[in-house]
Amino acid sequence: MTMSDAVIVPAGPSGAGRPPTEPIRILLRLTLLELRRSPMPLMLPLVAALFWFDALRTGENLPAIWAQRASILPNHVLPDVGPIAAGMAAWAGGREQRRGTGDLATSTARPRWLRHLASWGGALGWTLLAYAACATAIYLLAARVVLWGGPPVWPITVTGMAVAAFCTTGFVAGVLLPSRFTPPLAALGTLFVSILVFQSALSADHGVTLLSPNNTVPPLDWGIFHPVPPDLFIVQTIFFAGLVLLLLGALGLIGSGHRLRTAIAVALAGVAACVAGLALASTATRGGDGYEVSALHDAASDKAIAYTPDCTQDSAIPVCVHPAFATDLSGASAAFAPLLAEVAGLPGAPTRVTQIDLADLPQLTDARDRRAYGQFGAWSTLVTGSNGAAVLEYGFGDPNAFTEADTVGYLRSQAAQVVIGHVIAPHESPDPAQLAVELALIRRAGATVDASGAAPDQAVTAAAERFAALSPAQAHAWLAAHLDQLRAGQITPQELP
Amino acid sequence: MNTLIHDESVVPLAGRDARSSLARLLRLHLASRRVPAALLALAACAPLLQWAVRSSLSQTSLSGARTSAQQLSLLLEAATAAIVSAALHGPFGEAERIAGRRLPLLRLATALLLTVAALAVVYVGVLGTAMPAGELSALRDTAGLVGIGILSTVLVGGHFAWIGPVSYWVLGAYALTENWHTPWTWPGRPGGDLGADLCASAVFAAALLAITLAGPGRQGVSGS
Repeated sequence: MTMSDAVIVPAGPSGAGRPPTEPIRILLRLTLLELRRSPMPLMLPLVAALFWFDALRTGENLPAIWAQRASILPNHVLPDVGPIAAGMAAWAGGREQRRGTGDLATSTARPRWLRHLASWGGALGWTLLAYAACATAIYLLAARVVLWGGPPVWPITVTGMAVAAFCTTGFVAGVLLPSRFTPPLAALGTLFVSILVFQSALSADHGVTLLSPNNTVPPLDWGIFHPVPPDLFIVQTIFFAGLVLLLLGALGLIGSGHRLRTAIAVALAGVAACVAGLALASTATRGGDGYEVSALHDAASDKAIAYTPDCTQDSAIPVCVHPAFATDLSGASAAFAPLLAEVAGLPGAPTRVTQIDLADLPQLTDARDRRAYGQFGAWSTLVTGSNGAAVLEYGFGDPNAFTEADTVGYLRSQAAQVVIGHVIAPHESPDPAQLAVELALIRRAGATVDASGAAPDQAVTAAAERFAALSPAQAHAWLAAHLDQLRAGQITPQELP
Repeated sequence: MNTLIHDESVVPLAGRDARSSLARLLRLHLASRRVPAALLALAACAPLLQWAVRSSLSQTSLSGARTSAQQLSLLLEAATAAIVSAALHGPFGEAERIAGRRLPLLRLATALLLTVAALAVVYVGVLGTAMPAGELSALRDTAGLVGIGILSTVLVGGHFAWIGPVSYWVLGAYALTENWHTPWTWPGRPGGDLGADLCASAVFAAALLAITLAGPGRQGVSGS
């Protein structure tokens, strides 16, 4: 089939008797022709190489969490596929001018806009095919290692729309400014804008820059304890769909007068969608598990996701993790084991250690605490459970939290201070004997003492050293027998064993 | 066209006429390569580069700001390289190859002129911005990227040569974030690094040699 076969329609009096679907059928035939003749397939090996080098390798090093793996699509696949799509689409858009066939094509029966739409469809078809292959590879590889949850669909949709917007922008640039410099400038220009918006979005918690699909590196536990709200994804999809419509409508407006009303309607629909997207994005705020847009937010989606935690079976105080982090169970158990061995069975000791959503941990008011949290991305707190028993809750945002010695040490020390403080002196500041026992237990638990306060006096230090030198069984037996007296302030540092 | 006629009786021009003829040939060659438009496009990169690097470095998070500035700078350097490589495309194809005079010299002159322009633009673009790797490193990166762009022109033709700088940008941006130190990813190395300077220079020299001797590749795609 040649181009003329597809374009020339049988002569007839104003096309009377033609079925109403005829223009669509012709557009599809033209698009198929464009798909066959598109230069995009020549770029597929390059796209594949960039995808392997950048997106795939980065993705394989990310934690086996769906939200993390899905973030590869906007953060890496989009910059890998989008610019090349924009450049190639610009090349396709400038074809009539480049080949000097503008006048020849004008004399054909199809309006200029329809020819452009077919050409755009060919470029977009190959682009989306390449993108779909990349997304499939990312998700298939993730499915092999992710332990819990299901694949999120919104990142695929939004990134696909953004890739389509890249492609359409390049195509329209190619039509409007047909030049040898347009494809490279379209490719690098779209990438430039994308990076600029990404930079702004990273340091913003709200505002229109959140329209960028690559606006964040999601925290480790996004989508684990609570569903990620789809609000911002919906807004981004509306905006990019609007951008594509606006560009295509504008293409129809600057072409010949045929189908002017349709072009105006398409452009106006695009403007409306873009304005709606901008307005909604300006109201987006960052929540604990994603961005929320008040006009779209469904409170029902905030409901916690039910799960059965994975817990250690062989310890007096079970340590639990979310099943999505099952591989961290042994690490978490090892981090807390020395502390739990010291306090197991004592009144006030936690009956369970459990992982919770980082967003549910208490707001840190102390500047030092906030700094430490920022450094280690882990925190723990002691709460009273529904049955009155104490529960040690912890959360972590670092995927290597239990393999990095610094983070393990910090988490252990922080947990030791809240747990031991709660066991030895639960209601008030510790007296000298209580302080000595606390210091000794913290040392025995392999934790470090917070050295920021005033140094304890010599008697306390000496008593703490004596108590720390006891065997675990002796120390535990003494505490079991004398804890009530110790808590009541009836024991002096000199009376400690 | 006089240049296509091979007449043994034609006497070679001498002196001022020869120089004038050569200048005219060079001017026409540059015009056929859209060099004035390329120079305009290159000139637009300088203020953009100044603004992008300054705005990135003004971000509050210092480590992120440095990497962002380097990535954006590298992107605009890649843009200058893509413009240079696109400009080297020859529109006359086989006819020019057969009948053109002093083509290797003209190609070399065009490549050198555009490279100098690209280097000047990048230098003006980073001047006074306190670029993390130094201003000279931007010149080195640009020379290497232009080399990659010219090599791409030789291999796949001027219309698609931009894929070389774009691909190398992905590699360079990855090297910057992952702290790669191989000299072949020269954007990750500081200014004045001998290995990176040698690698970028070698690529540029190879590219100049290739464009001079072989010329731009014939367009692999018929232009559909």
